Amino acid sequence: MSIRFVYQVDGVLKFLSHLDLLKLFNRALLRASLPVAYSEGFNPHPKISFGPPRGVGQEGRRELGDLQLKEPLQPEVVMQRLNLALPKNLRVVAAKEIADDAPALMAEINLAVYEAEFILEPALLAAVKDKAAAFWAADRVEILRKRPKKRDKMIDLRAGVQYLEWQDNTLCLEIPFAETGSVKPAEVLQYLLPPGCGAAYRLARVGLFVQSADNQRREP
Amino acid sequence: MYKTAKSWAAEVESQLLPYVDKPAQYLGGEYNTVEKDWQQAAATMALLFPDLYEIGMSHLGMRILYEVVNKRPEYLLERVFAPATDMEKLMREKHIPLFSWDNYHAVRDFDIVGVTLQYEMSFSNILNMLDLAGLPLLAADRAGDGWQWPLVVAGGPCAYNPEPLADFFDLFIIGEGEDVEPELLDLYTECRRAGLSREQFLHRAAALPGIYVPQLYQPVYTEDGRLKAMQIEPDAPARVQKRLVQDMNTALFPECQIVPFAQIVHDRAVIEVMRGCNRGCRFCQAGIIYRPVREKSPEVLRAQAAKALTATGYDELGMISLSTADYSCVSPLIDQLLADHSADGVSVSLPSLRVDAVSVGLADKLQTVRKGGLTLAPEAGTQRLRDIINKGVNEEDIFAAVQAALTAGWNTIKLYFMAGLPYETDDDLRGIAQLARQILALGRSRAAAADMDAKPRRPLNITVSVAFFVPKAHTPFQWFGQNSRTELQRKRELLFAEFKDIRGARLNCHDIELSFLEGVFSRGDRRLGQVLLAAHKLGCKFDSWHEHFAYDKWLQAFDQAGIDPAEYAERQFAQEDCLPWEHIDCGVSKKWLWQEWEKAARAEKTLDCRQGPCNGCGICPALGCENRYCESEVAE
Repeated sequence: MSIRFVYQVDGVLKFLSHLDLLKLFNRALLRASLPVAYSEGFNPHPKISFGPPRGVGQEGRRELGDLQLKEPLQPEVVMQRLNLALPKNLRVVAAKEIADDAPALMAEINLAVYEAEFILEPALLAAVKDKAAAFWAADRVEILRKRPKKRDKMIDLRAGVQYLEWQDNTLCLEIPFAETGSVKPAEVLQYLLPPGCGAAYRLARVGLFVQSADNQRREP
Repeated sequence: MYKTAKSWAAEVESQLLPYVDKPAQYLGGEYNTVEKDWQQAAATMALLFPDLYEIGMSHLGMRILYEVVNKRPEYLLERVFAPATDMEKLMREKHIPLFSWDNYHAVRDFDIVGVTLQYEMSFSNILNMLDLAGLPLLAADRAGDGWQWPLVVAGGPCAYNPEPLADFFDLFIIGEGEDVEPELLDLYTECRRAGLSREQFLHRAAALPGIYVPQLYQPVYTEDGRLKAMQIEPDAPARVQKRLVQDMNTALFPECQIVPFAQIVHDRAVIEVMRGCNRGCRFCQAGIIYRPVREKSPEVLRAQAAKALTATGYDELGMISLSTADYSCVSPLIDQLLADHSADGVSVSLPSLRVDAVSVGLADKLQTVRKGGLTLAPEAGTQRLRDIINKGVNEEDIFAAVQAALTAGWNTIKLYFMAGLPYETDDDLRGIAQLARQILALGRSRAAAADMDAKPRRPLNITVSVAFFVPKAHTPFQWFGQNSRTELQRKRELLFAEFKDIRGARLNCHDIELSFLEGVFSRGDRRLGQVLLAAHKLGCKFDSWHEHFAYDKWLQAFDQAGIDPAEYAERQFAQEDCLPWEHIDCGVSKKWLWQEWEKAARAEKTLDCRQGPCNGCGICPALGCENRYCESEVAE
């Protein structure tokens, strides 16, 4: 059977890379002694898969993962046993059964929603809000993306942002996953901040969605 | 005790981690770490490993001490590693002091700071870390203000010659730390409660077996600058004898092993199958200081392996010891472990191999799928020199091991040798090349035989790695002066010339300058403290990381301290000389070590007392212990 689970990651664990997190889950599955299904071949690995990777330094409020089991188990039991085997700052908050042939998370998810809480003095925050308004009104906002061992690439930040909205000092950003590569939320935030401010915000990915052509969205 | 409970977590999280390379290496709270209440602890201890997290967490001793201290409800121990240079730079900019990984407490807020001494070339990192912690480096500078500064202590293999570091530490723990560490914490707590001064405490500590308080021992030098004797305070022991765990079966072992978030060098669950090795290789310090051999029973190991695997979720188990193939029940234990766990996809690994066909057979049994490289260490190129160093390996063993490896399907073999050994001639170095040729010839005949059954096979490739010999304290070669840098350079060139025409063999040699500095400190005395201080001020750190090693700065440091490093490295001690580590007693007698040194001159072998009669090394009577071997059959 297949289980889809929702997990949260925060505290210092937001600094784990996608690969670190994968390894962590693999070991947690063994510690939880869940009847996980394994792939065939010389190097069998547990059948667990995740949604699109989250950037290092971002918290995850509703991250998604799929797990295949050899024998049926209540989703709540899977959740409980997994939680006992996870370190602090990482927990499963929901689990449900899905069809074995359900589309993969990576294939389906095409929208991520972020929240960035700015930690700034009022004057600086006002400047950021002004710049955000100008950003939203602009047709194109180009920045140079630095890439390790590759040439810098010009990208249009504005085109990568579907929606933005303020709630006090928190900026909500909707960024679709584009086949040609999507915009990173940190790129938008750094663009909005005056130079020298560093990462003066707390960034979280708060949701992953499947958005249809008519802008209807659902959590997979 | 009575210190601030401030955690630097917020600063670390917001001002450091977003901006450093590989932030996962700085995260505590890994699975199986212990949560303790700082306010409730009777005494707190920071355990410093003077290298990166990926190295420190691969070290079993670190895990054992973490377990031993935290097992005691009244004590708290947190881990500290060296921050990488990008992290250090930021910490200094933001004035964030060195902190513990577990809860980001400042190192200077702990009662005791313990440093593990694994390797001479980590000494500069130790000073850098103490500095980053905001501690005065010299023990004397921490003494003036009562208990304002933590007690700074050290232990580990390099504590067997503690003199180069004596100025920086309040005390050293000699030998295995499992029992002493809690005793030290007990004494500390008792003395603090009784309102004793730091100095009173140190005098009390010196009476604890296995504790060396350097300030109670003052070296006296002759007019020509040689060490004459140690002047010892009346209440301190004349010699500090090492501590050891008598029964490994009942010794505390960390089964619930910490599972790092970041990738570390040895990323697997481990069992320690035995401690000690009495093969008696004359160059090897571990082979002397960890005597006698204490094997664990297969039943204990099976249970510990099962517990470690379920508690960690690792899919690999390492069987750790100085020479696991020598463990009496190694083959049945491996079978048992494979039977217990291979169905769960767990693989079992050995850290190193003995040079013989049996060991290769063991490795083959373990490597059911991948055939990576196989490593063998003949150490010397000719039988004469192998007898001199008492490496109990002959040519037949080497060829049989290679033959077995080829049969089992390995086509990459790595061979370890040393150059600059005592009584070495150029013929011995040519012998390394000769051995390489013979091994490659074995590979070719094997390949030719394989051609007949029409199986294409990749040709055998060998890598020959040559380290420059560094004489170590408490070994039969402790009297030997290291070859000069020019001599080592000549030998290096000779080796490269010999290997130039050998196809299929790749030669690499260790760094001469680094081996030279290691030689200076491994047999150095207290005067080298000034050099370390100068080197630290010049910015030396991470010396064993090629990209950070700054030889010219080291030379400058020696110059500033007015010390000629060659005098230290190349000095040949005489039998009657007072050695700088004379007051440290590893249990093996100096008389026996000297006999071994003389036997080396005659290329005379000494058998392992596992096979032959007692050699009289002195360890058993000195420490009231004995070799403990497990029963040779395993209960089903």
